[in-house]
Amino acid sequence: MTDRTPILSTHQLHMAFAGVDVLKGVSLTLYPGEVHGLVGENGAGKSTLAKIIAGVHRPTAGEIKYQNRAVHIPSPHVATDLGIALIHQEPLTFPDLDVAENIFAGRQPQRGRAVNWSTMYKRAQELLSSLGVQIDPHAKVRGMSIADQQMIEMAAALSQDVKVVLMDEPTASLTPSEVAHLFKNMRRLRDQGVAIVFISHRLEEVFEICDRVSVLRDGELIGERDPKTTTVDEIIRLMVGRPLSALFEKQAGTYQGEPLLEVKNLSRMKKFSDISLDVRAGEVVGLAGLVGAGRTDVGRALFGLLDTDSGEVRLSGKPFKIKSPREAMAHGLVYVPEDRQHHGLLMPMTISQNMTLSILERLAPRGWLREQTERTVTQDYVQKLRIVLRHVGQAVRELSGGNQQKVVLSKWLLTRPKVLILDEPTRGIDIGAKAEVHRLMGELTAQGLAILMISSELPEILAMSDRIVVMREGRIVARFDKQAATQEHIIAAATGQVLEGVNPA
Amino acid sequence: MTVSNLRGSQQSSTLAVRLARIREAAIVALLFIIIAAVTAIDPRFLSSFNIRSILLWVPLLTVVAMGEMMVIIIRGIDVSVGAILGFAGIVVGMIFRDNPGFNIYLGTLLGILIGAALGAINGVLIAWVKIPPVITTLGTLSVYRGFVFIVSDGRQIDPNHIPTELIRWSQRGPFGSQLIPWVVVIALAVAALAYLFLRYTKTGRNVYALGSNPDAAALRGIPVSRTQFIVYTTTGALAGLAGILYASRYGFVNPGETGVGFELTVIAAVVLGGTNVFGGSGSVIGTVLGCLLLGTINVALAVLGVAATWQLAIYGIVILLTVIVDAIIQRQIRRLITGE
Repeated sequence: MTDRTPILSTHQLHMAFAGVDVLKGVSLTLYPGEVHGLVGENGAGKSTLAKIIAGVHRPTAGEIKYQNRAVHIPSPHVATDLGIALIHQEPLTFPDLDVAENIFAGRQPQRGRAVNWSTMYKRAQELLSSLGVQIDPHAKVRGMSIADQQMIEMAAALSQDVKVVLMDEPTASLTPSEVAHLFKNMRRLRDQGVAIVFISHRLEEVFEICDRVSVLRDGELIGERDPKTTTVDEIIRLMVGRPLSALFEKQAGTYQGEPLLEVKNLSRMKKFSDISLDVRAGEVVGLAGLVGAGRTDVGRALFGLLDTDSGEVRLSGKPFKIKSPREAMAHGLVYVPEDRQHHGLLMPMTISQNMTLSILERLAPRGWLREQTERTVTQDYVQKLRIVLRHVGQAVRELSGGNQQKVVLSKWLLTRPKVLILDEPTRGIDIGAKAEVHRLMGELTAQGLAILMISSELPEILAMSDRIVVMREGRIVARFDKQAATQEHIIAAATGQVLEGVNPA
Repeated sequence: MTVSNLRGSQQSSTLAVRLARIREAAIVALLFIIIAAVTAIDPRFLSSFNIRSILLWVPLLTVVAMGEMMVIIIRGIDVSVGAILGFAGIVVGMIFRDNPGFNIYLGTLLGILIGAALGAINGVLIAWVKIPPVITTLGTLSVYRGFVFIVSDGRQIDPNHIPTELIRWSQRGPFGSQLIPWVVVIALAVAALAYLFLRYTKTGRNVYALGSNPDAAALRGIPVSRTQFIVYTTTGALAGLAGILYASRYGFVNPGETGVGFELTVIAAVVLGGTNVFGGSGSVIGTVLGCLLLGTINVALAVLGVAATWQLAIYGIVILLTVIVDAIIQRQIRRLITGE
C-alpha cells in the first residue's frame, strides 16, 4: 500500500481554539482506495482534523498536500471543488427542500440559466439507486431518518467527482442493519479508488471496515496500526495512555453517610431509560460514557429541565417530584451545566451579580438588593475558591475560563446545596484551575455534600470518583468501584466492547 | 433504507406537502365563507363596485408581499417597506408635479430604482454589517419616513399633479376592461416573475436553502450575504413600485399617510399565506391567496360598517392567530418525530 502515491496528506497541522491547543502537529497520510480509521477519546482532535481537511476550520499552522501539491482550503466550497467531502455525524440537510435539491443544493443542474428540475430528479434518482437506497427524490427531507439523511449527504458527495470522503461518526445513530448498508457502500467507494476517513468510537466497526487505523490522543497522532495485526486492547491502550500524575486525587472513603440522592428506574422517551443510581453524603459518583450517551439528559432531568416519563427520585430519603429547577434548588439539588457561556453565566455582568443570581430572594427578601450585602457574601467565596480577580465588580467576561468556572460553582454553592450535579466541571480550563476545582470537590464532599460528576475525561473520572457508573445509548451498562476501575474497562463499557477477563457488573 | 424507514420518510414528507395544500385550500374555503356570510348579511357585497375595490386594494399588497415573503423565508423581517413605498411615491410624485408631462414609465422606473437603493441600504446593514433585520429595518423605517417629510416639506402631492395616464392604470385594464385594471395585471406579472425566480433560478433556490438551514447553506458554499442583499434590495424595489401604484390608485401621495403601517398589513398577508415565520418555506400562490383574503376582509369590514379604526387591530389578530395555530401544529409534528 505504501508504494502508491498518497491522495492527501497533512503536515504538522496545528490548531488552537481560544488559546487551547487542539491539534499539535498532526501528519496524516491518506491513500486512494483505503478506509482509514481515526480513533481517540472525546476531545482528542478527530473532528477538528476532519473539519480542517474539509475547509470548515483553518489550521493555525501546517500544510495540506492534495494530489502531490500544497493546497489551501479556506472554505467547504473549495474542498468540495477539490473532491473532498465531509459527512457530518448529524447530517446537515435542508428540511424544507426535497431530496433531489438537498443533493444538488448550490449546484443544481441548469438548462441555460434556469434550474433543470427534470434532470435534477433523474440524476438524484441515479445517485440514490447507486447507493442502493429507496428514497423518493421528490420527498421533503423533514422528518427523515438519520440514516436516510446520511445517504442523501453521500449522494451529494458523489454528485461531485469525489476523491476523499471524511465521515465523522457516521454510525453513531444508526441501527445495525443501517450500519451494514453503509459499510457496503463504503467498500464499494473504496474499490472505486476513493479514500475514506472513518471516525468512530465503536472499535469493532473500525476493525471490521478499516484498512488502517490511526490513533489520536490529546491532539497528537500516537500511532498507526493495521487492524489485521493489532488488537482492540492495544488500540484502547494507545487511546488512553496518559500520565495521571498531574491530577488531584480524591481520598476514597474519607466520609460516607446516608444516600442523599436516590434515583430509581428513571426513564425519558428517546433520551434515557431505566436509570438507577444513588449518591451518598461525602461521595463523588462519576458518570462516564461517550458524548451523546444521555448523561447530560439525566442531569437535566434531575434538575427539572427535562420532563421524565417514569421513575422515582428521593432526596435525603424523601420522595421528590421534580418539577422545576427552582424547586430542585429549594430541596438542595443543583445542576451545574457544562456550557458556561450559554447556561452558566451572564458575561457582561459583574462577578458578584453573577454569584448572587440564584440567592437573590434570600439577599433581598423584600425585593430591594443592597450592593453592600451582595459584595460581602461573594467576597467570602472569592477567598474560599481562590478566584483570581481585580475586584468583585469586574465583568465576568474578563476572567479566564478556570476562574469563570469557579464563579459558576460559587453561584450554586451559595444556594447551600446538599447534592451537586456537575456536568464536565473542568472542560476547557487549564490544568492548574482543574486541580483547584478538584481540590474544591474534595473539600465539599468532606463537608458532607454528595456529588454526581458527569465527565468525558477518564483520568478525571478515575481520580475523583468513589464509584463509577457508565452509560451507553441511554442506559447504564456498567458500575465500578474505585479500586476495580481502569480506563480500559470504562472505555470498553462505554463503547460496547468486551475485554478479556472483565465482567462489567 | 429499510422498508420501514422508507415508509416513515414518505409519510412525514407527504404530511408536510399535504399541510401546505391544506393551508391553501383553507384560505380558499375561508374566502368563500367570508364572501357567503357577508353577502347573506348585505347582498350588495358582491356588486362590481366592491369586487373592484378588492381588486384595487390587493395589487399594492401583493407586489410588496412578494418581497416580504422572500425576506421571511430567509428568516428575516422588513418593517421599512411602508416607508420605502412612501418615499418612492413622494419623490416621483414631486417629479411629476414639477415636470408636467414627465414620462410615467420613466417615473415608474425611477420609483423602482429609489426603492431598490433604500432596500440595498437595508441589505448592506443586514448582510455585511450583521445587524439583526428587525433592528435594521425599524431604524430605516423611521429614517426613510423622516426623509419623506423632509423632501416633501410635509406637503401632499395633489390629484391634479398626478398624471391622468397613471391614474388610468387603476381605472382601465387591457382592451379597455373596467373590471380588471392595469394595476391588477402588473401585480399578477410581479407574482409570476417571483414564481419563476424562486422556482428556476439558483439565487431563488438559495433563498429557500438559506432559510431552511443557514449553517448547511454556508457549508455548501451558498453565498449567504449576497443572497440576503439581493432579497432586501428586491423587496425595496417592489415597495418602490408599490409607491407608484399607490399614486395611481389613490391619486395623491401624502407624507403622513401613504404607506404608514403598511408593513403590518403586508406581514399579515404573508403569514396568512402560509409562509413559515421561522423561515425555510413559503409559496407565491399561498401569498397571493393571503393578500386576496386580507383584501376581502378589508372590504367586507367596510361593507359591514366596521370602523376603519378597527382594521389595524384585526390585522394584528390575524397575524397572531395564524402564528399560534402554526406553532401548535409544528410542535405536534416535532413531538411525533423526535419526542423532544
